[in-house]
Amino acid sequence: MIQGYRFQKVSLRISKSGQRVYFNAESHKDFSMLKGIALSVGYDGALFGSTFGFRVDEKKVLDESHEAHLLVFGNDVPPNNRMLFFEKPIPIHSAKLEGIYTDSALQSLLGNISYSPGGGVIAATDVNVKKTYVSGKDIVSYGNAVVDNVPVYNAPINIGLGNSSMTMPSTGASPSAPAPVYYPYDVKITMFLSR
Amino acid sequence: MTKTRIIYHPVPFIVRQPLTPVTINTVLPSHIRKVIGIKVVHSVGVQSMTTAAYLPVIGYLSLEFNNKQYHFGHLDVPFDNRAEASDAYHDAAIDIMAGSLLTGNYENKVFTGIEYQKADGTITDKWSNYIVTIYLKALSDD
Repeated sequence: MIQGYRFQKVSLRISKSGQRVYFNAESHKDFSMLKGIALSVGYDGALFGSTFGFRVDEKKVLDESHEAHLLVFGNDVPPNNRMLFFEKPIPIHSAKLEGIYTDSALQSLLGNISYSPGGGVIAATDVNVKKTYVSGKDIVSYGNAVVDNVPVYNAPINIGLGNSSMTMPSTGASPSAPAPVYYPYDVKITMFLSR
Repeated sequence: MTKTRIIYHPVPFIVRQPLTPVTINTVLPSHIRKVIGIKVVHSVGVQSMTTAAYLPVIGYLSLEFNNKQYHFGHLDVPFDNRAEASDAYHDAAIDIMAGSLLTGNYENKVFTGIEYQKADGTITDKWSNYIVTIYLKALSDD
């Protein structure tokens, strides 16, 4: 017997810093409304600065620069406290659901010196590295998702250590070291469907 | 016939100096018809300058809609790195003129001492640029 609601889930794995992972799925055919969405992220350190875009039948619901931490529940936050409930449920009838998760998308902008000295509004094109949900040429298939290798950090910094050298990602002009993030980590997207 | 639906439109801005106000001046997408909620959150950056998980006010934001015809008011912007941080929106009901400007000013209120910005205006390595994002819950007809 089919219940009146269903939590449809999609799992993604983020393997490296700055990675963009795209998924698409079809909503369950027996349910006609999308009432909410939430994320869970395997590692808290990855939350800040990561973004999640979402759209239904190619209509944008969340911009690609929507911050993931606003949608994430975890040990301290139950899902119904953090799930984004849509005040007007989105009609779905075997709809195409698409999402794109970008790791550390906003950290890379901290060092951008193209803004005025005091700062200013960040253009959407700066955040949305690619304006389309259709991934580019350098795609690696991954499970039910597609991984898009977009470099988010600036050019690497080489640090000489005697005869050896170590390469570290640059975080632009940000003076402090970012919180460590351990890769890979998993992101689970939960979509709340109802009949 | 177009259907109106709710979207969440982010407007991020970067703060690059502690003592210089940030001017916000951007055109809202023409498909936005009405703003029904506003939320302002710290996105990234401040955590590099403090070990605190919560600062009640890191800056003040003044917002105007419809080419400065509607002043929404002043908002305190907190830094909240806690899991239980509120994600509620301020209620609003602002009809948006197509293609109009969202304008305003943001004034940073933290890390303004001389150890962050020298007298000659240059910032020190203790300062970290940070990003604040204005989220508009809006009715869209795209």
